[in-house]
Amino acid sequence: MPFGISLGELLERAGGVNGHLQALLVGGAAGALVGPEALGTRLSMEDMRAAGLPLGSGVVMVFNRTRDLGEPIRRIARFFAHESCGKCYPCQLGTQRQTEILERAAAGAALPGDRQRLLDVGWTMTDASLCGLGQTAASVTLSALKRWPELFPND
Amino acid sequence: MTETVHLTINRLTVETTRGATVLDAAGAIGIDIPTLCYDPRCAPNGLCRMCVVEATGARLLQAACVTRAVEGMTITTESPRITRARRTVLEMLAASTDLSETPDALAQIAETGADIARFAGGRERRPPVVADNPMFVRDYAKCILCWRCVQVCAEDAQYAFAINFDGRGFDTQIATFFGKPLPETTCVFCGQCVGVCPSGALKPLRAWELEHPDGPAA
Amino acid sequence: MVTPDRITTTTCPFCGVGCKLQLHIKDDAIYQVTSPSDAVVNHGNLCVKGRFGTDFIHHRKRVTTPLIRRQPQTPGGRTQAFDRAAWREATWDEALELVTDRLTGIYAKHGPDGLAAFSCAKATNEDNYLLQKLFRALFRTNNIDHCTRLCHAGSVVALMDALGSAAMSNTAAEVALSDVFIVTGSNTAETHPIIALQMKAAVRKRGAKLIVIDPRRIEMVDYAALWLPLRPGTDVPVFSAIAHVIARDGLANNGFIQARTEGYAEFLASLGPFTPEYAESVSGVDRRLIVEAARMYAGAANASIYWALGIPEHTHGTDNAASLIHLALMTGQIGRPGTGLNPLRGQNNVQGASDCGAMPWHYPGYQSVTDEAVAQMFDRAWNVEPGGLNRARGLSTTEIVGAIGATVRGLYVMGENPMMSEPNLNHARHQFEQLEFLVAQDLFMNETAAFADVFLPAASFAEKVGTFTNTDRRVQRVRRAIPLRGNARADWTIVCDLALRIEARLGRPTAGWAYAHPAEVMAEIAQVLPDYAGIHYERLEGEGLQTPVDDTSHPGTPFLFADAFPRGRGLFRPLEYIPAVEPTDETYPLILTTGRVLEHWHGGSITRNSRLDELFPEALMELNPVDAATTGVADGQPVRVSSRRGTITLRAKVTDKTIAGVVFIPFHFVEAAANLLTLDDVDPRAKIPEYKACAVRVEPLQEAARPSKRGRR
Repeated sequence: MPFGISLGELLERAGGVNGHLQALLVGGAAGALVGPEALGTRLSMEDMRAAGLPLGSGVVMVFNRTRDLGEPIRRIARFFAHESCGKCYPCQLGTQRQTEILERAAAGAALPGDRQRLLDVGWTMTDASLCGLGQTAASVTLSALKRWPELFPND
Repeated sequence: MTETVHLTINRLTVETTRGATVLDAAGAIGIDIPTLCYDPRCAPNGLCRMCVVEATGARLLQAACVTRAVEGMTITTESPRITRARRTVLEMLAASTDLSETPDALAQIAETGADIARFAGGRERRPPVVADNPMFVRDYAKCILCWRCVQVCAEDAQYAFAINFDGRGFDTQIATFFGKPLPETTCVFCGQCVGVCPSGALKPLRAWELEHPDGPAA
Repeated sequence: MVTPDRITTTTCPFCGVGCKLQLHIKDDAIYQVTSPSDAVVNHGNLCVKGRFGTDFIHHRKRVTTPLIRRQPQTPGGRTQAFDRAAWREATWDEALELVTDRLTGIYAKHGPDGLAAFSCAKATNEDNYLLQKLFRALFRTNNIDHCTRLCHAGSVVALMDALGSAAMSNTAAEVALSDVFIVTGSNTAETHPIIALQMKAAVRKRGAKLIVIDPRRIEMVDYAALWLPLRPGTDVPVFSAIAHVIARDGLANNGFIQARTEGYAEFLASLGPFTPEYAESVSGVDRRLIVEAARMYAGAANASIYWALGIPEHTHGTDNAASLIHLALMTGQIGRPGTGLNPLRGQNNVQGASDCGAMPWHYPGYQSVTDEAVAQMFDRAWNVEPGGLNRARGLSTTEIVGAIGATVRGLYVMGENPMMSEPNLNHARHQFEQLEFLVAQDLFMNETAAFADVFLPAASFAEKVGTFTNTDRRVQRVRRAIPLRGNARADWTIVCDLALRIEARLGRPTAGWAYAHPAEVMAEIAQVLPDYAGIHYERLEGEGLQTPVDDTSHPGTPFLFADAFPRGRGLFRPLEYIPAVEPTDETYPLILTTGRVLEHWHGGSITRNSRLDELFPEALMELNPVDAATTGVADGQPVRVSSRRGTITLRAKVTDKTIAGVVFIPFHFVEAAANLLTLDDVDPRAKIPEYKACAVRVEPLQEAARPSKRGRR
């Protein structure tokens, strides 16, 4: 694909969306989840940065409305908990806590304050982790929290 | 000749030697940056991230123990971002391991107002006590994974290389290779590890016996 | 979590490194030992003994009340009594009166030569000073010595000859400043563990090059650029060949030789025969390694030499040490930081006990007993009538043992265990049996004390006040952490109490024993020992002071000989190769060399009454795989080891740690006492025995011959 085409054009060239587009995971597991409003964003360094989106691995994953977005978010969280090397505290502890909170929410057992917990864990990992893995381990969760607040437990 | 560099920490200008860390430079002018894993006897590894600070030009928080002071650098040691990171690390740690004998952590919990129950209910690290030698006991339920023991066993003091970190992520723990009992390893029982342990995870057998008068360690 | 009632800072009682300890006390017992990271000697690091081995203080076998033997002992019929039933408890008054009666009785009958004392390198400077003062001022004998004779005597004589000073020239930690350093005859990682850490860091972190010259593949070889595995006793040819190469290849420092030394021309002439080829033929060391070592050492900006007992513990130990000294003198690798001649002293206070005059030829400060001016000074200092002190050299430890029955009738042993540490123990046992009277002042009923008539229970290091002087001349405080156990008393108070009784009995004017505190003893030492002139307790509070300390404003001396040697010029002395006294033959085909292991201390009085004994419970003989094949011994198999003097049984450990033809046995284990095998032949000048080489035979035994203990090795 030529650099600089928009996300929307990309999807069309790939054959379009089955059903109704719900979300795009841009940049892989360490990337961000965005809604259809991002289709106009061009895949260039400048435009993506301006939109606050990572190019990351270059992967774009597409979800239609039949999918429960919580499931890939949890799967990605588990992936990071599994991949964390355990060296720095934010990632060693945060990937585990992030997974636990997401899983109990999915099980309908969310606790009061879990949304804030996810935010604090996520930003702590993002701000304070030692390496890129920890710094992006909450990227998907944080982006989804912002775009689909209804997906997450609220106080 | 030692070169000097100048930096600004919390609006104060500091002169320090090239190669010094931000933690050193701050300490020299009485700015107290909290630490947990840091020990002056060990090469800093930036593990606990309690010492994170904001540095102009850096997108992310920087660990002061491993960040070298450079000319013209501007550092802030307190901010809402920093406080959130410190408090959250402490809250997550308190839910993971027994901090009752880690006075540094307890003091910082009090100082930051961290809620030690905030992440309760998740997984905890509670491995059984290891008493495999006549000299000291390893109670890794109290381990905070600061790595000091691993480092003094290796190049920071003893060059024995008897222990290392094992596993990864939340399941990381300090262990001997292949989990062998210490007497079957290269351990020379110098106890440098016991000497630097900040959390009561490593204790002389005699101290353990005083705490557990009813019987020997498991 | 245990919270300590108090934490007492003191100095480690084990080896000569002199680590700073913090004793954590609960209910008057030590439950934890730590060290502060700013401790100048050890930077917070400790070894297994300092960290975990102080539990001997509380051991149930410790003797804490004076004991008198129930059965009177007679010369020729003296026995060892380990069983407490053979002893009765006594008051201090009764015990000290008995000692006074018997010692003064022997003195009245046999004069000064009838008595002798073993002083103690584990005890404080003050303890040692007072015991030698007692025997010199009251019994007028110089028959006082201590285990320095059995360790570095050869080094001391050689250094005194060549330089005029016998201590380590530099601070051990200065190895960090060395570009090249030689470690020879020192299993540093096990015997001076904290100095070994500094050496390892010098290699791994600073790129220093280490040359190990040792018959064993000790741990330090892992860090070495070169390892020269020499046959025991071939030190003189190897080091002289290194000197030969330095001279031959124009690597000598002629400026230094001209400005600071004498005797070089004769020495140079004597090096002719010591070619690398010749050295290889007698030592087994590849000639190329000798050449490389010479170039490495002489070519370094700063090079130092560290050695321990593998050098002096030979019948030519003085020559061995001299051959090392020559290397420093001909290259000028001395008198600067990171250089020097550094005999690593074994005991915590062997330097101090020597400094304080617990030696038969020297008053405190290495001042000769045969020097009239010195003797007069001590006559005055100790309130002795003019000419009263003995002007003749006394007997060394091995000579004292040899003289029992002939001249020596009564022996006072403070804290040493010659019945484990003397060579040729069967002979030593026979000699001890001939004693008329023996006093043991100790913590435990060890192999020597069990021979005694009277046992005086002494305080451990944690129960008393004083000073130790470590291997790099640092005088450090010893502080009381716990009360005296039972009726035990500090050595210095025992000696003073006894001295007053003896003095009264002999009707002598008092030599001065009314010290209220060891600080007052140190004040007296400072008056008679020039290197300690500026030392008083207040100045020792922090990290201590390194001698010489010339006056009360002198800051101490990290390294010696910057401008001159105490004797003026450094002296070269031509050497000859004298082989070990007992060559191997068909009957005794292997060389035995003895030494220590990390977990144990000397005769074992302390460490075998500690949990350290659980860590290393059993004597093991190291045997090279080549010799294992020849002798038919499997790893772990019991063996009988015999020399011309004795036989022991123990287990073999088949290992490359010892070279082919050489076996190693540690001397800590009474059940397989290595010194039953060793030779009591001594160096003619230093009087040090040849512990490091004798001929033995190894024979495999069936498993049942020696029950194994559970241990780590």
